[in-house]
Amino acid sequence: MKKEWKHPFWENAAKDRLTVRLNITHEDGSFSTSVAKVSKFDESGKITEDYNEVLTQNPIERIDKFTEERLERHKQQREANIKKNKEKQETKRLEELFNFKLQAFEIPEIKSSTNRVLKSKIRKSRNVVELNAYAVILLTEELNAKKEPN
Amino acid sequence: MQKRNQTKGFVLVATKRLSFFKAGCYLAETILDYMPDANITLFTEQQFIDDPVLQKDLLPFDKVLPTIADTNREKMYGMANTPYDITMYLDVDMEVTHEDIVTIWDQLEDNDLKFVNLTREGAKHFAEWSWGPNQLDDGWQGTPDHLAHCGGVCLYKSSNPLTLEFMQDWYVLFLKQRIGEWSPKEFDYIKTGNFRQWDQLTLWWLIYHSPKYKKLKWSFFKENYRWNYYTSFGLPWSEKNPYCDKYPIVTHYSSGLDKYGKRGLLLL
Repeated sequence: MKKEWKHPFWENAAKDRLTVRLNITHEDGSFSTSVAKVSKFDESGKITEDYNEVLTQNPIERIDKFTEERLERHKQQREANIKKNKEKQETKRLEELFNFKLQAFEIPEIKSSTNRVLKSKIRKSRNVVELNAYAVILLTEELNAKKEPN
Repeated sequence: MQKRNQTKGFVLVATKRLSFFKAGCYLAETILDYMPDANITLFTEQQFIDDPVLQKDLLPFDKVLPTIADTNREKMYGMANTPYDITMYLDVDMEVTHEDIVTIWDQLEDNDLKFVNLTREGAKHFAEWSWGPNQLDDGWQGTPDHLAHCGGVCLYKSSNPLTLEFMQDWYVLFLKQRIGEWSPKEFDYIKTGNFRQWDQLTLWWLIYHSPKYKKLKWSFFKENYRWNYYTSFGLPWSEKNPYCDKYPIVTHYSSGLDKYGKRGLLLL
């Protein structure tokens, strides 16, 4: 049986616990692979055989390097996920804003208004609050104008 | 003989759905917000032109002309039949968002056609983009293995008859391409994806492979995505970002909108 300990990294700052891929080539030629947890010490405080084997095949410097690379990879993934989520949220916000603008111009008083300045301000709104504010001002003006002849 | 001034104007095309018609009318208003004297022509279906309820929506246009069919690619018909000498075509799921739109006519320079370059950076936002290794972004000078030219925004010298023929061929060849009646040998190299469904593939062929149009001079907009800023880029307009150094001039809602479902423009 041949045991190969691949890509080990430290699980903790004390560097007394490792995660490592264990590839085994059995006597009959079959092959198996698994992820193993390897502790430096056993219950009586002695250094374990597996730990020694891992270190024989992988010098400490290499394990440190794998550990650092893994941490960096995870950090980059976390940052990418945060960025992706922000992008999705912003996309959704922009699309919703666009749809709200289209809907605002389906309100008959806004649609038929000749107040180009306020209508333009509605179209140029950069958020829903701004959009609603200008829509309300325009609606109020239009409704008041309708009342005036009386 | 005195040379007459060149006419300049925008062409919008809206068919198939009332929501597209409405979006086109809204886009026209956003153009007028920054360019009050702009000429804008709408190509749309006769049923919308005749609808008395929609007459007010047509006010921003100086011309409203019928399309000859009701396909979702009548845009090339509209582009081929522009009434202007210099034309800016825009997809209707867009809005003008910056005053620099007034510089549009200067962007053409001595070109016949001006496009937005669909770069590798933005590729993840497009349904399909590349089928091979050669990409303009890498400095590749030959025919790229990707859809480099966006068909959603196009500034062109429509006073040049060859440019109008280009648009007409784009229209006819795409309709044939879509039903499998036209498939030039250059398409054989494309082994992945479903690129034959896109009018941008027809555009790619016309630009890089059609001998007839080799004479046409084209280039990309210098500020590229500023003229076609996809909302799916998802980055705030207020700051410099990888796609755009300044606030976008034209914002495009294409990628994220569910045009055929229940979301998006169909809320109307």
